[in-house]
Amino acid sequence: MIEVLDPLASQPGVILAALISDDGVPVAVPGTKVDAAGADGGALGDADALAAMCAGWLDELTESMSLLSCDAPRRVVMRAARGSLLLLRTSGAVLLVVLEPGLGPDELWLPMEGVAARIQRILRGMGEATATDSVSDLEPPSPLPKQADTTPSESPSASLNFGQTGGDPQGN
Amino acid sequence: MLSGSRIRQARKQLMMDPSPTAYAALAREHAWDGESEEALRVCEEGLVAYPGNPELQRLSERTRRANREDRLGELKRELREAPRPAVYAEMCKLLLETDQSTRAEECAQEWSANHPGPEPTLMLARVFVVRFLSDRGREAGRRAFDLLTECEKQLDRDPRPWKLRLELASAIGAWAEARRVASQLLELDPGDPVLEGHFRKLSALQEGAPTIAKALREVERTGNLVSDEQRETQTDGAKRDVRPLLQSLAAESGVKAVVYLRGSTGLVQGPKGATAERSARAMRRIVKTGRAAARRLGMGQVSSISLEGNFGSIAVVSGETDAGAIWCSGKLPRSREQALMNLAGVQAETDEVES
Repeated sequence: MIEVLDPLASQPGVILAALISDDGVPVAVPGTKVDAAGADGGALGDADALAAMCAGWLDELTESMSLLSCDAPRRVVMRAARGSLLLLRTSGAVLLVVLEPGLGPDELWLPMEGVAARIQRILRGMGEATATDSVSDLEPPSPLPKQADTTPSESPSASLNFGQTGGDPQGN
Repeated sequence: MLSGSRIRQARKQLMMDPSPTAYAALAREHAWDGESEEALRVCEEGLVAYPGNPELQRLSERTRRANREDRLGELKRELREAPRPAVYAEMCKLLLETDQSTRAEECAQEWSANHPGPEPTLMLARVFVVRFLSDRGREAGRRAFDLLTECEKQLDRDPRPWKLRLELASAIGAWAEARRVASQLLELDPGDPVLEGHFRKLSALQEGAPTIAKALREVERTGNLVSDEQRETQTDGAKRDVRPLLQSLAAESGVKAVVYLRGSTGLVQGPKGATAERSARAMRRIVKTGRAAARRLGMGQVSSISLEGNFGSIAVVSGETDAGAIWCSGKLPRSREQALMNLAGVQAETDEVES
């Protein structure tokens, strides 16, 4: 994922580029203006805190939008005194970019959409792989213990075992 | 020589028609000629004749900023050649004036490393006070109080850290702490009528006042300083009617709603009845949660928030005490964004709630 985010982080004026997955796990790449990150004692220097706060804010925004009977926003931009925060929601993840003050988001949407599409492809591939791996796990357990595939020549030994351990069925 | 004739021409034009445009034209000519002091003087003269004229205000602010940038360049050179406390102090002060608190902090830290002493610590405390008052983040406030305590230990009976502490404690409503500091200041300057009046007021307020930690938490949660509320009461006389601006914005094609928010009142143009109420509530939540998120992230005051989705686009411009929001069906054109900027910060009359 870091390689996917790298082109975004290397854009001029980017302090941080990160991807927050649905389960809240962040993957962050510091940008070219890394010195500015976290300089003010905020969460910008801590990817976990940043991811948690942004995910929380997005949830709050979704709740606000539900008052207007609207879906969650796809693109969010917050311009503030010490920089701008750009959020792009895709299915299964949120792409996040922190920009230095005075820069507009217009030039960054295109690379962000590109990265989001690439992430989607990766996530889809991972999902398919996981689905294939987990097919056998999803099968219900058989009522009898699993046996190794037997060939007809092995059946006598099986009956011999029965005879040795279980004794004579007639009680002799 | 050419610029001299242009200045003469602009001056003659101003004499014939003393309009804000003519004042601005003359100020611009002076600025292009490198006479920034003269440009500033013309702007001020124009602002006396036309108070609050946006063009002249913008020009005056730009000239001031240019002057400060020039001075900052000189100071940087001085610091490279011969770093000394006076240069560091002026540099930090200028950086704070230009709202560059991160660079001011770096400068104060460099000053402290090169010339350890109480003065750089006091400057650092000032940086954090300014940052807290601008961002309303608890961490910056706590750091400012810690640095002021350190300063008070180093600068025995110096009123400067106490005054800063009094300002900070009064701004967050930690009245008991403010009263304690005011009494210390009165010990230094007994009989000061302003301080005595302030002390009496603080004595009346200290009952049940929150502690510093609690007051800082409250400021971070709400984003409001006690001093903001006082200032809002004082500026009641400067209110303007925002309704015509709301109406003109709502009349444009594709606009679903325009909302102006101040205090607990929302003026809505577009939707009617319960939909209007819901729109105002939604916009208020967007502003409130956005401001809180910015404070927690350490990004400072929010100036605008934009949302895009299958609902169209919503743009919110946030002033210090008010906010304007617009909801369009498509992408928000630049002209509307500009108009929205004029909406926030107008201190409109919100005595009545309309929808």
